[in-house]
Amino acid sequence: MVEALSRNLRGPDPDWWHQRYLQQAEWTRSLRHHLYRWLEIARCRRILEVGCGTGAIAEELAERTTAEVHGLDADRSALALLRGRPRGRGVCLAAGDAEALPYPDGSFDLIATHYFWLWAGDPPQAARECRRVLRSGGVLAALAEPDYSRRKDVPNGNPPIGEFLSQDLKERGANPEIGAGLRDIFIQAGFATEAGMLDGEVGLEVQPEIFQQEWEMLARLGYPSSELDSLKASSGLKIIMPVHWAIGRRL
Amino acid sequence: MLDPKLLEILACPKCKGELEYRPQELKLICWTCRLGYNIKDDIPVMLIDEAEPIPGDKK
Repeated sequence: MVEALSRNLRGPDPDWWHQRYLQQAEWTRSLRHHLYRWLEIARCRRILEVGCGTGAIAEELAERTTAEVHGLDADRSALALLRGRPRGRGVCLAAGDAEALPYPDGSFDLIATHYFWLWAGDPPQAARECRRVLRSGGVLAALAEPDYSRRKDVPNGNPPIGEFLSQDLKERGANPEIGAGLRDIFIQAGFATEAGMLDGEVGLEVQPEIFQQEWEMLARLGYPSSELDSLKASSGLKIIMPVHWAIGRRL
Repeated sequence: MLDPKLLEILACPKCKGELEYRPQELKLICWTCRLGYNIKDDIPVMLIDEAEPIPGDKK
């Protein structure tokens, strides 16, 4: 897992990836903020984000609540970037594995995750560890977990972009289809679970900046440039991305 | 300097037991597992694979 998460940041440009994570957080914001209201996060006293990376979500939690917010990730370069920012100082950081959390039993009211489970080395063990460190009545929230294999691009390139990204993630040790399996993982770990999925849709006319960054990322990952050029010249571009969420309550 | 809020809560990731903080050595020590976890750039590295074995008795 350490290796997978380090590769996640891809070399010497963690700032660019932080921008990418902020964009992912922007993409899933309305779903996430709906879950925040449902879970009444303002009442939490201590919150942990597992797989906090460069801190897009942990910083938001620290700003929106009066809770003590902790962030854990196996990737130290991501944590160093988070710590270097003024907002990042509101988050207590530790490097660690989700499968062996460095906290005592019953420590947290809420554990938040965002685009984390696809990188987890052993998701069932990570879910059991989350249950252990939650207090009775505490909640494990997968705020958004993508399913790249079912992403649809209209028009699509060749190879199809969803397939291309899925393959890239698999090569880096991730499971791009984990979202659909979260409900079972949470239930088997002993959580009272509710879960669902929605199709996140963005259009070029409405959110051109998302496409700009998407194309930049595809170029970085080695997507054929001729295909990318013809996509950029198309009209009415749309991306439809299934995003899963799951809420597990420790009874 | 480790955040006091972190010090209060951190446990050994292996046995989940208490840790001893050694600020001069920049280490958190679990005497049950005899493992030392390093603190690098103010961030405790609580990875079992990267912990150092601690020889001898508790001083």
